[in-house]
Amino acid sequence: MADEDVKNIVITATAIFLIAPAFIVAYVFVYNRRKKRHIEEKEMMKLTFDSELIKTQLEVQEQTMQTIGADLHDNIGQLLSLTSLTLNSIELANKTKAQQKIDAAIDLTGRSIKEMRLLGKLLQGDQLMALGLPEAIRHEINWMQKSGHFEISYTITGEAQEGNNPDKDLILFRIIQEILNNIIKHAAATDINIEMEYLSEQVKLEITDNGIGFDADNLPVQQRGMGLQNIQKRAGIIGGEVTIKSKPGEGTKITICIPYP
Amino acid sequence: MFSYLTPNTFIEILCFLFAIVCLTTDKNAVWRSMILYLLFTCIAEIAGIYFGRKTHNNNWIYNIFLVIEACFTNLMFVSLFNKYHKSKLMVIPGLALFAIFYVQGLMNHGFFVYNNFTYTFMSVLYVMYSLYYYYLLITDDRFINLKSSPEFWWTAGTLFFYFANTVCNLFDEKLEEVMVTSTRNLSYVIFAGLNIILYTCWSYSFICRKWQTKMLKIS
Repeated sequence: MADEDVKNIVITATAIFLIAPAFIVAYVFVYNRRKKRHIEEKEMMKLTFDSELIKTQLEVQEQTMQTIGADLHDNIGQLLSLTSLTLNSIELANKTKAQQKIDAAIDLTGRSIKEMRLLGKLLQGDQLMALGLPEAIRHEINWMQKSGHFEISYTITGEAQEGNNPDKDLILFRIIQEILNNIIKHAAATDINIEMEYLSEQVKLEITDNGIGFDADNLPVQQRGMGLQNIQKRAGIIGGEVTIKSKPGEGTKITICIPYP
Repeated sequence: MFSYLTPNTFIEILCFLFAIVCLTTDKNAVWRSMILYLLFTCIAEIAGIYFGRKTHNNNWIYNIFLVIEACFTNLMFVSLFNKYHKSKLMVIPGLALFAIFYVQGLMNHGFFVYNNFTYTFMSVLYVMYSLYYYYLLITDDRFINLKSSPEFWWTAGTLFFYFANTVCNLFDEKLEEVMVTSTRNLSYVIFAGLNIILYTCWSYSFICRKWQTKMLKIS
């Protein structure tokens, strides 16, 4: 091989052997930039999640306050008014009747105290969630059932295998509250069926009512409302999916699947 | 005096000066040791020119320098890998093979013939280490600003130099006869170019290291 040929081969090969590491270095740069973008996106998602979590906490508190307000006005307020009336109507001259009224007043006061205790438990919202999601839902259902307008069945299948996820529990609880609020406000339902199922790495929640229903497939944007959008958005934040099946006159079935824990 | 100022010695001395300015106060002993390594490099290069002119054989100097090069470069790679995992054991097989080839080379060809096979093996090893470091870098979850990362630029220089000199190592004997100018053969010219790339990257990495130390002091 002539010197000139060797020279050309060596120069070309060296150039190629220089280009190869240049590509590797460039690749590391590009990959690193992507990594930066990914980290920023992750941080942004965490911020969104945190702010949504705080919002959810506030909404749960607000709902609790509303329940307390309504209960104070409709239940405890009435009981105390009745107690006051009963005590005012006591005639001391008629001892037998007076005793009956005093007994009635004692009974009313006792019921008020019982109601107040229940309210006290509700006020400790954090403790409610600390009992776990199934218990928190049961508590919510108890309050709804007290109104006497709804027949509610609630079943739980399985249990969380790898412990609870308090953040997801809170968001899921708020979703359930919103669904139940929608049923109370718009569905005119009498029967509500709630089924919660812990699957492997997933929790599935199904809420069915026998209300007036709506056309879920062709719901106009203005009627879609914040409620349904919020449910979808919140479930999305914790990586879940919401399926809404409803037809006018045939009730509504909402299924939520969320990766868990 | 000026006859010793070749492109190689110029860039090596410049890099050595950068190392003195940027690394003297560095808290990391491995980075600080680069000053010593570059001092040895400059001495070897100048001594190489001197003995080349005087005795027409300077291979024994580069044979000695090969050991110094292996020690310092391995030390630096251990330090780089240590950021991700314990790596002392990882470089031992490479060093052991290096020692075997080195001794074998000396026994076969003597002290005055350059140990080219060992150098080629060492180059391949450093290319592998550099690529492994980049692998660790991209698989790490943490983000590092590469533009000012001393480790990244030190490895870049090493990768460029040892990867691109493979061709020269393979054609070593043939290239000695291929002259580019009346006094310089092709191997010399290519190595001068690669040295410029290597020491420019290393000088920049020392500057980055200085910035990093300053930033740490401020914070």
